[in-house]
Amino acid sequence: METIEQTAVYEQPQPLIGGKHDYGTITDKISSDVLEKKTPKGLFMAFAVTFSLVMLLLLAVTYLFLKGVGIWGIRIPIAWGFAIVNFVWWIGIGHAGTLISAILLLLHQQWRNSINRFAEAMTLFAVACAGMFPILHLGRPWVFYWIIPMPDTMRLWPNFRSPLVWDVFAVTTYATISLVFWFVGLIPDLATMRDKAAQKWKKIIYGMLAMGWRNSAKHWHRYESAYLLLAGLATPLVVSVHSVVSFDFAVGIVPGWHTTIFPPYFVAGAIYSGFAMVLSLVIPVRKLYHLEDFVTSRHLDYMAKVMLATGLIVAYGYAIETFTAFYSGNRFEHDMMINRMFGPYGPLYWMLILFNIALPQLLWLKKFRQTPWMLFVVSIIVNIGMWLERFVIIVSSLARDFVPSSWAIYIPTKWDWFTFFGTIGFFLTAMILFIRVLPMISIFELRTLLPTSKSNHE
Amino acid sequence: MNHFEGPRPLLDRIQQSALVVGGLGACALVVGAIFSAQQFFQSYLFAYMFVLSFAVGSLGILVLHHMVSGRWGFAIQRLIEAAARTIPLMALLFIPILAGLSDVYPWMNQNGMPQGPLMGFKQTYLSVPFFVSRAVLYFVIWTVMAFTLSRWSHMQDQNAGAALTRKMRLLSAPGIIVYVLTMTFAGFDWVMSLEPQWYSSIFGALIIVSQVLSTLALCIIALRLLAAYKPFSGFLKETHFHHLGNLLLTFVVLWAYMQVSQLIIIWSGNLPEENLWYLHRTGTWDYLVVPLVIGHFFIPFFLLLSRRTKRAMARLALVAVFILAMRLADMFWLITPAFHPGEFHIHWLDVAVPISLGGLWLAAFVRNLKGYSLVPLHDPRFEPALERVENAVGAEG
Repeated sequence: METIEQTAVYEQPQPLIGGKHDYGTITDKISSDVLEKKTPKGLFMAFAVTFSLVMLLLLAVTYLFLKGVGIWGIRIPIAWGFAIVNFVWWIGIGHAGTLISAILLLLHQQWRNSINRFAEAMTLFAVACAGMFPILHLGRPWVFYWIIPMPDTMRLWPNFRSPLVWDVFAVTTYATISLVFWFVGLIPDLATMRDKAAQKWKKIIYGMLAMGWRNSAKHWHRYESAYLLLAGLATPLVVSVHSVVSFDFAVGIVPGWHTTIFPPYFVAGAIYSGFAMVLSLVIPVRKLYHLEDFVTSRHLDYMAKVMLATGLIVAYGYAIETFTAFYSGNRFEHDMMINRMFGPYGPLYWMLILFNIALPQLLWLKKFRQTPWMLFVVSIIVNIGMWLERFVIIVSSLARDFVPSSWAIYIPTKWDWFTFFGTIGFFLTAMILFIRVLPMISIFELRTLLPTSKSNHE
Repeated sequence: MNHFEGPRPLLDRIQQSALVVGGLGACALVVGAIFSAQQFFQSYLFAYMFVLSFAVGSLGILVLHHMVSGRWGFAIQRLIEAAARTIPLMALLFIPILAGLSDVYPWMNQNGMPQGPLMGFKQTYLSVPFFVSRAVLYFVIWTVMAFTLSRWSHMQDQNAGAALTRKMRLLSAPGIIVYVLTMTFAGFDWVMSLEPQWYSSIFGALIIVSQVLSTLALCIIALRLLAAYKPFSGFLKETHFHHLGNLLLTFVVLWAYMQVSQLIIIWSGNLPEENLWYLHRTGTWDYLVVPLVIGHFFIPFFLLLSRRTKRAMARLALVAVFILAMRLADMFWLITPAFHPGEFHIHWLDVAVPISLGGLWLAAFVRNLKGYSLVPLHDPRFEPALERVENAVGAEG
């Protein structure tokens, strides 16, 4: 038949699991990486570096508590320096995990099964890093709970019209749902670990965490409905959290912050940076643990495409923002844009355009999407680019206030850098511990990707 | 139910009645245009932007469909191709807007154009030659994209090869970018510039989301009408409606999200050059605002959350009809207060022009539907599904 030949001309996608695998080999491979095999040397070396950075974080935070926020580079009018830049950067990174676990689940994107566990863990640790910054920035971090609305003897209430208060709600909800979602998804695998573990103490720990999972049909039934409900709850969070973060800026009238495209463009940027971070982590881990059969080049290709698409939305945001600044004819909008491009922080702006917009266009080429090291390089570039974006938005707008006499330049101090690198160390340490003690790929969900499994219901 | 007949008689009937309504309406419009030219042009712009949604929105969904290749997309592919091929007609219908520029756009007059040292950019951007050449450019780009994609798709029906699928995808990837950019600026030009001092960077995205929502609603209604006939009777299943219903829900939510984002940001900023737009659209316009909030968001949102609504095509089509009515009201709220700030105003032409333009457009759309298979054939992404259905039908019968 002619048709069949022609169908063959059109490239059929490769299977989502490479090599020769069945239910047993998948379970063995993923569980033995945690339970039996020796920890790769590379992991120890990475841990040595990242854990030193955690110590640096402790040092920076201790000194901050002793001295106050004056050790940072912030000064009026630039009251929001690294703390807020890093907060937004980290919270954005978390978004990929929620998108992968919730939205892609609802969209029946089966390929997510290979990476969702990993991405969700990343979300949790990124949110933890993000949460540190606003609290450290408070000046009196020990009374941070004042921002939570609760009846107290002083009759103090937070200002509900302030998006900084919405942030507290958004981020705590986000952290809670992400944690519960991640843990619920882990339960069947924890039971597998319990059953596979050889030593008694491991059996006890995994057994307690598995909460009595016995693999019965009733358990699965309840699990499936709980998981779907949690996915439904998590879906709006993908959009709402970063929209609220964008309101932190946009509801004020600071030029460069006050523009209506901010919410959708921040959300796109969050997913963009999140996927970049997933790729930056998955590519080395895949190599270290020989997971090429489970995280195939097709997975990398899909993630690269999501990155390309969201990156283009971000580019749209930049373009429209620039157009509006000139179209508005507003003195402040106009001067802000000129200042952003050619002012004291101008070079950072052009670096941002290069890193966030120009270079990622390489992903149009299949070669860059499917060659791991090339994709890794692009993902690192995007991570830096998205960090620069937050820096340019926050600092360049604040540095040029409405009143020229109050203009100033912000230069981060070593304590700013220590805190920032410290959180990166904290994040990576947590990731390393996660892949060491828990199955980093969802065993039971991966099994549904096998051709023999007919769970691909419509 | 005529399971084994084509929908030709139904299509003929719709086309004829649409043409009659459109034609009679056009006669009434001539009368209106003679007696109150300014009102005619203002109503015309509102009706035009509503009808344009279907043509250009279809193009947007078409390029998206070629990229994501979901099953829902193949069910409506021929509908959106036919709708996108009405773009030349929309270009023709744009002429009255050009004729009425000075009755509609304040920046045409000296005192309507914002003045100031930094207004040079805006004055150049909103000058007649630039405005007209941009419109020409948009229509040329849209027409070329719509007809190229349609032609390739029809060539594939002749069994011209799976390589065409690759070509369609190759055009659609940059096509999405081009669509989004052109429609954003068309939205700025044709709607946002009605209040030349006002600006909102989310406005283009809002127009795009609204267009896609209108088009999805139209497609659902059309599928519901055609479902009983071949070829749809052979393969349309609840899942198709379920997916389209989910998309409809997504875009209802996106519309609300963008509207609310814009409102929160402008309301809290409270700058005089921005909040005027809302002041013009409230006052007695609240009669429209309140129903829009409830009807354009809450009612469809809660209805579409239910799986039962989405899987029952008759019920889903009813929701779609309701959404289309709300889309019309929303477009009216977006445009008309620019001419009657703060005071609710409706004219008989605001009813007559949409009916007339809608009738003409519907006739053209249905005409475009005829003559080709109503589902794409020989597309390797779709064919396996189609064959399976045909085999199943054969086994049953």
